[in-house]
Amino acid sequence: MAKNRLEYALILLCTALFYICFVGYLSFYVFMLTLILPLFSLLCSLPAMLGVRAELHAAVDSTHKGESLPLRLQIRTSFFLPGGRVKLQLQLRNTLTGEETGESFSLTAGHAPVRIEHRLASEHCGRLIFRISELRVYDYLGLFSFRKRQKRGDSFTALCYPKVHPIFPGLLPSTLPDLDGDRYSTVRSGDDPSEIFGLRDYREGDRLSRIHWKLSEKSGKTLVKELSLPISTRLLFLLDLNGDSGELDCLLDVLASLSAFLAAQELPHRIQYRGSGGMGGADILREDDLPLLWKELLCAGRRKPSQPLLEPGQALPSGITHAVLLCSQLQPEALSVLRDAMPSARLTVLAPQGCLPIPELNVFGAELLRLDPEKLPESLSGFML
Amino acid sequence: MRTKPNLPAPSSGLSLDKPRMLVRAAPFFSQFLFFTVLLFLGTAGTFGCFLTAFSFPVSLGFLALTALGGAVLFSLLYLQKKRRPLWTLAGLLLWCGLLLFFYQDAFYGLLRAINEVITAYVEKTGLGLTTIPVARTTPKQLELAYSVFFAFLLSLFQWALGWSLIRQGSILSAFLLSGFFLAIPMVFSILPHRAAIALLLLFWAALLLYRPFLGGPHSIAEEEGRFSLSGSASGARVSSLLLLVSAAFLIVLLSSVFPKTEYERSETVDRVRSGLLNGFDFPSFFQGNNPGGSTSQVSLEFSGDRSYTGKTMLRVNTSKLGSDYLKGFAGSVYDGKSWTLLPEEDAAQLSSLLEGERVQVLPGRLHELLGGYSSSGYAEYSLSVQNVGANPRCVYLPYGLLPGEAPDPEFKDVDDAFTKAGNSVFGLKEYQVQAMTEEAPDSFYSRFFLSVPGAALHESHPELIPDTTGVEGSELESWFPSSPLLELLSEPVSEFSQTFQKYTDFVYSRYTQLPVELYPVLRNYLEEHGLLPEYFDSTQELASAIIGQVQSECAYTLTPGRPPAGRDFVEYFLFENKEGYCVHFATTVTVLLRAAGVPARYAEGYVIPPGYTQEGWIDIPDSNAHAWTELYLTGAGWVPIEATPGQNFSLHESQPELSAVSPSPSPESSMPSSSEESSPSQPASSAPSATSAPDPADPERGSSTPGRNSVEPSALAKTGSSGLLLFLGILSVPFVLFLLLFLQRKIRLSIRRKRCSLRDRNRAALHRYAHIKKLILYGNKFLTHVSGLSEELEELVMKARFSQHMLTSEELGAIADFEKQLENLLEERLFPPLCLYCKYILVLF
Repeated sequence: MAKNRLEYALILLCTALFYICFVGYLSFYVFMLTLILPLFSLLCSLPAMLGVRAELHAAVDSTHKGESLPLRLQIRTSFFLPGGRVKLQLQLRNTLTGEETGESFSLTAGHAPVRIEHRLASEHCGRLIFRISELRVYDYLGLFSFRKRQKRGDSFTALCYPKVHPIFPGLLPSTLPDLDGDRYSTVRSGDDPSEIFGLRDYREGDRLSRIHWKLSEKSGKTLVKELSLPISTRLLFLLDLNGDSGELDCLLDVLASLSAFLAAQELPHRIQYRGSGGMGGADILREDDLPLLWKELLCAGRRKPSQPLLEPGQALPSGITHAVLLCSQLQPEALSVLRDAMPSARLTVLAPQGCLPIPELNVFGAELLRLDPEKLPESLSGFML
Repeated sequence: MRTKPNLPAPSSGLSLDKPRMLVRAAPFFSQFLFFTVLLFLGTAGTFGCFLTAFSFPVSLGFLALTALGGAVLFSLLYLQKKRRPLWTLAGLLLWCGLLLFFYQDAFYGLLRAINEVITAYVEKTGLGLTTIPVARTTPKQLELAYSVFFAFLLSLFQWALGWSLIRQGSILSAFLLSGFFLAIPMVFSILPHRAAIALLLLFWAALLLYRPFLGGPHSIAEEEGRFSLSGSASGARVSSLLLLVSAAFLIVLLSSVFPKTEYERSETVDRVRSGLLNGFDFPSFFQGNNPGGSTSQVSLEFSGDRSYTGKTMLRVNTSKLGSDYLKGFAGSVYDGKSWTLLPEEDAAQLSSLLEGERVQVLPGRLHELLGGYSSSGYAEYSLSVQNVGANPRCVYLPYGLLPGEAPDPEFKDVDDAFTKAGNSVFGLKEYQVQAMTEEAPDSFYSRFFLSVPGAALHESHPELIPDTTGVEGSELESWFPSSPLLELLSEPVSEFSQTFQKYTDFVYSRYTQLPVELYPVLRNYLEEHGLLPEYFDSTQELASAIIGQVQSECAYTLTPGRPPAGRDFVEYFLFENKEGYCVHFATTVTVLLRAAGVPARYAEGYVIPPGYTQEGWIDIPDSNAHAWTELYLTGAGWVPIEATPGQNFSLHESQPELSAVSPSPSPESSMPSSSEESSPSQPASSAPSATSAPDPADPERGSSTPGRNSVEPSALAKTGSSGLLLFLGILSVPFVLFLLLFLQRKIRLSIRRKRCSLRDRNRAALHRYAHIKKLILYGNKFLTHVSGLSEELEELVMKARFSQHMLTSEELGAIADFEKQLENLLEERLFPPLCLYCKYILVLF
């Protein structure tokens, strides 16, 4: 706009000089026309400027590291006349790693939409937010402009998932579910008759022993008992969302790989993570539980260095026999809290290669496994859950 | 890397690839109609202006059809994508074929058109241009020839216009193309028809409004994360022509709101134009230190040796014969090294006591209110002045200005001392005033009682008339009417008398002031030489005696040298140096009079030499710049007295039979320049009387219609053509400069490219090395630190310089890569102004 204003100032100066030097009505007329033209331009272009709309679309809302995601940006004006130039500033941000990039476009908005196709890719996991940070519309002469605010369609969110590696750790007996335990799944039914999970209508093929005769008589329809599923979450993964992008990627890949393996084996385990918003987590019983967890995890921001990973007295699940701490930096306080909460559990720390051991590891009897991001399966060979 | 503040620096984790643009262009027919209308409008406007300006007799219908046809054809040609070169070639062949067929008519039309243009130029400007000899023909054939020629020219124009609008989307090219044809008549103010101008203006307005969507081929330009999309031909639709209609409406509305019949050019604009045409007289602007060239102060410490060139400073046309003082400046306060104006508080006090009276027209007011003192001694005259070489902010006015009905805005009074130009930026180059000469008495007493009101009082109230028996003349000079007398006078006379009395008291208190350390010195001098007021009958006699004494002791010279720093100017001149010119004498006499208790001022300006008889304008050269003393007399106000020896300028001369006199007498010729101009009552050293008598041989010579000091605006005789030339000249300077910069850069880059791609790789490497050294030098100058060549590259350069073996392509490539890196580094990191400087002036990259 500065360039256009400078050009207009130059034209105005020329017509002013013409008016001064040339004695006649023509010079005055041309000077007045030059003075009035910007106002006229603004009035004519105002409807088109007000009608400008910019929208972001994408075919899918998730991707994996290194894979590209097609995006489409569409700009048009609802007025039948074309508008002046439009300048957009686009901002792409990974909320987990804090990375940002951006670009700007300058184009003319017409009644027919202008579509711009892009492919975006992220080398790191996280939540990618792609938004129109600024939309500025100009009049025909490019002298006046204002910011256009939009209510819809100016941002798009996609999740970039970690990569699942073919990791096959060994399973210790303590990892297997304890069928004598007194915890039952609240989301799935099982075969344990000691607790009724729920009641449902009779379906063909149900065993007669499962029919709840009493309630069926009362309700007038055949009701079948669903038995409960005993669970014993013996395995805890505790993820520290801290570190640089590469380290976080490494930890997330490992977690995703281990969790996928366990979920595939239908081995229940608990995943907890510490992000900027505090502690979050979920019990993973099967593969279907993973997407929801990853959605929440990737949307969580990085833990701030001032926030501790585990606070003293922090409530942790009971019955854990093996706690796996995934972090990029060892924290003695966290190890201490873990050991206090689980005095008899096995402690394993998975950390990227650059992480240095600390004396507290021996104090708390924790085992450190260093991870090579390029060779994750090899890094975890011999690892026993 | 330089990035805009609100665009985050690109990080390595996130990446966006190069975007692809999908634009649905407007339908072909819609675009075709749009561009056809635009092309036709541009052609009609451009050629309409050209043809109507020179009134070419053409077949308008034929040309209009040609224009329309051309617009259609060229729109089709440039819009369609397939086989365009073939169509272009076909069109070109057709055009050439038709030209060959109609060659005679076209060529004849060309020649006649050139002649027509030349004839119009000659008529407008009087330039001595010759036309091309061409056989005459019948009007019908002439019309045919013109029509054929312009049809071909028009088609060429449309081809170029279509290419720039449709293919390139370049508004500037379209402006320049159409502007060129308008400039041909307009350069000499040959105006085209209004309708044609309106069409062309509409076309230009359309170009500006359509600029956002008149792009060329679709493209995306990228620069550091910023993408610019051009070529949005989606806007080139029939519906967009509504903008054109609106613009046409605006043009018509504007001519209705500001109709030509009611148009009046502003005076301010005319003044600016005058200033531009006359160049604002910059040299004169700095002429403050030459005599008569100051409006604020005169610095005496720089009054050293003086010389004159004879350059004409003023041109005057006066109906008064005889000499005249044209005062440009009067100094009120003397501080030992300069003459300055009254201090602010004194000026404020003066303004309040004057109550609107102007001291500059005091003699005129005295005459107006009290009537003429001596009927034979009164004459009015007009004086016109053209300031051709002096400071335009100075206004040189004679004594005896006639008061007008209202203060003239062209002038601005400076306290009670002098007048300067009202326009402090451009000054005043030409003006005309009415003035009078009158033989006035020394005292108000004499003036009053010899006037009509005074004479009437003699008869009606003789008891109120003071008895002047035994009263000395100097005491009478301070007489003013008492209250009983004032009550008997008319209100204007009474008010004026009271104001005049207050002003006189002010004058006596301010204009007798001197530096404290100088006063006793001068007082002693006056006492030693018997020059005190009590020894003389009148102030004028005292003044004459002081002047005579100074002139007898000091000699006139133009090379007295500067006074030593810190010394009082008068003290050094009067007691030590004893040599000087008008400034020295006038200053000394003024301060001596002040020391004697007589109000006096220093004045400078120009003098009209005595005795010129030629009518019309006379030239006043720089050697006529002069300084003199002003004496205050209650009967006449401030009157000039001559303090410099050898000057016979006087306001009291009458020499009708004087022969031709040099209009610029050298001040060194102390005798009158012509023996015929001797005035018996005027020895060179005598103090002249306050006013001059009119020429008795031609009493009407000096009379002029009484009236205000009106200033008639000068007849600014420049025609519009010089104005437009000036305008074009001013406009073309930056363009020419830019063009030269651009061209020299291209040439230098091309030379460097050739040198760096020589087949002799060693020489090419050395050229590159020289450029690298330059880049490093300026890089270190403008940036913090730029790393130099690595050891390997240095070795390569040494090899290129001294070895018999040729560098390999890879080795040369390494040097070229480093050179490129440095260029990119400088281009990215330098601040924009420095970058432009390095790019266009130093041509580093």
